[in-house]
Amino acid sequence: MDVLWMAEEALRSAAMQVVVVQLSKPIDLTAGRRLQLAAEAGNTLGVFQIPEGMGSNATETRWRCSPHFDAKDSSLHRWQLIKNKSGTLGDWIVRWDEQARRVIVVSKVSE
Amino acid sequence: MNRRVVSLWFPRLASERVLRARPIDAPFALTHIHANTQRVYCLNAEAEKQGLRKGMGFTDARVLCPDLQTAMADPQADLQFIQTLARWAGRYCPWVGVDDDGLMLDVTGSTHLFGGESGMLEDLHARLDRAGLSHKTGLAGTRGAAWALARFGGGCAPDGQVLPYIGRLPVEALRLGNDVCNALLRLGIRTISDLVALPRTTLARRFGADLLLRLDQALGEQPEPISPQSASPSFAVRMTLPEPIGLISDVMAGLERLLVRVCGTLSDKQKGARCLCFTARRVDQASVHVEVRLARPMRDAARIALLFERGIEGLDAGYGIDQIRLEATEVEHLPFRQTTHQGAQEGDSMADLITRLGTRVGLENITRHLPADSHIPEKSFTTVYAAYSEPATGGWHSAAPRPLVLFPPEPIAGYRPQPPARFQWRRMSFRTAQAIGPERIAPEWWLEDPDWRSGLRDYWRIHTREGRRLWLFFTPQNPGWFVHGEFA
Repeated sequence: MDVLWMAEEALRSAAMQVVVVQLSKPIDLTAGRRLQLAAEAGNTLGVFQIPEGMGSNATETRWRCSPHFDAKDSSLHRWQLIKNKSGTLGDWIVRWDEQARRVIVVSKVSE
Repeated sequence: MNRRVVSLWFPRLASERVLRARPIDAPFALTHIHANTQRVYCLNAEAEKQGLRKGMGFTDARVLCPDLQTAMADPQADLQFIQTLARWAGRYCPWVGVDDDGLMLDVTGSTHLFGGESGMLEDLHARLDRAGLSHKTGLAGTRGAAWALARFGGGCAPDGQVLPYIGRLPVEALRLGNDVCNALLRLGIRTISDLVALPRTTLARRFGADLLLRLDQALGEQPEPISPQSASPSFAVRMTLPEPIGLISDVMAGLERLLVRVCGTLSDKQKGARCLCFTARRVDQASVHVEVRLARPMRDAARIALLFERGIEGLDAGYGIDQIRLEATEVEHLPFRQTTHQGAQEGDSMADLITRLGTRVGLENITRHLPADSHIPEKSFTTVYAAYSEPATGGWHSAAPRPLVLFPPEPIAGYRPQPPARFQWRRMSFRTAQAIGPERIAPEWWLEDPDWRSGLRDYWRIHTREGRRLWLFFTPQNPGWFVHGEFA
């Protein structure tokens, strides 16, 4: 598969900070491991957009992101950690700060 | 110093080019199709002895000489061959021009390097004989006279004496058109000295200025320059190996040596390679190619070698490779740059990555987006080939927030200018919680765009209670609502 090969090359080369890949098919264990090693070698973050329910078993973490409605703040996201090999699952409401260019966690109390 | 010009003529260039690769000791001819007839294009000496001549029909030639061997002519290859000869002739003088099937050398001031004019001609003849090319040379003070001497018997006219040597030659030697020659012959003017004896005014009136121009050029009254070949630098090197090789590491080692040489030439000329072609000739005469297209012009041997690795691994060495050749088929200007203390140039690793991906999926499939100067959302960016563009220097500017995803407008129900309180989109129902807008965008009237036939658009950012944030627009001139994009 060209997409996976390209993703692996891009992850390994360290020329980019983030590699975003859209997949339409689930990846198998070997491919997942190769990508994992490539990302470690290049010290690059790989983000894979996968269809619901097609995640690889080998993944370290799996997230579900969805927009979240709030009457006061209109730019909230809900990030759910739905798989975590080395910890507990979680659920956060976050906000993207345009000026600071970073994601800010909003406390749930404010809801 | 007086001008000295050598004209070299190869009377059997095309056939001898073919025979050099495959010697035949029999009558041989090259044929070509001219005016729907197969005609003789060029002959070797054997065939000429049998009474054949250039331009005769191929069937007639067959009748005269039943054991004639033939091949098809290849004028393109002949042209390349004569260019090669012109490059070779650069050993005698720097001014070499190609002159249909011969060469023109301006040897003024360079003859003493070969022991005078006679020494130089001897050297020239000896080398051409060894190459198996029949040739005629003319040496004279003008280009026209040298041409005439070479085409009509060969010879050498000493400095300042042109007429006694070319006077006995026929008028065709003046590079005239056929009709002028025929008219002169009909009048009984056969040689150049006959022509010189006639009054000039009548000649000009009867035959036009061209005849006098050619005559004056031959006699040196009018100057005639030699346009030398533009020195097209060749970025190709090859290596012939004493023993065939087959290991990847051996081929890579050979390639690296070639790369160092090519990159040296490139660096001398301030050029960078865009496309490199590696050809390996195998023992069984087949050859295999590996082509690498680079994402930016480069002349760094070590980095290019890494990019060749993938192609070399897929090479079929067969019984072994005995000659390797590397050519930079596309070069671009690449001026020297001041080095920085950081060493590698910025963006080098990205260019390498684009090259590596491009060798597999094609460089034209790797694109990048650049901001474009338009208010129309679909036209606010352009997609360009990553290999032939630079990243945008400015940032992305827009007065209002733009959606993360933009898709072709999808109609929803609703005809009133106020945003709908609830609507159906992609079989989902949404309730509007907050509507921000409108932001009016007018079509670019100076450009015809079928998507904008519906006229003005009022864009609204709609926050739905379900969570999704959509970008809707209303067309007041043609009432209707559409979903155009989605925010993060």
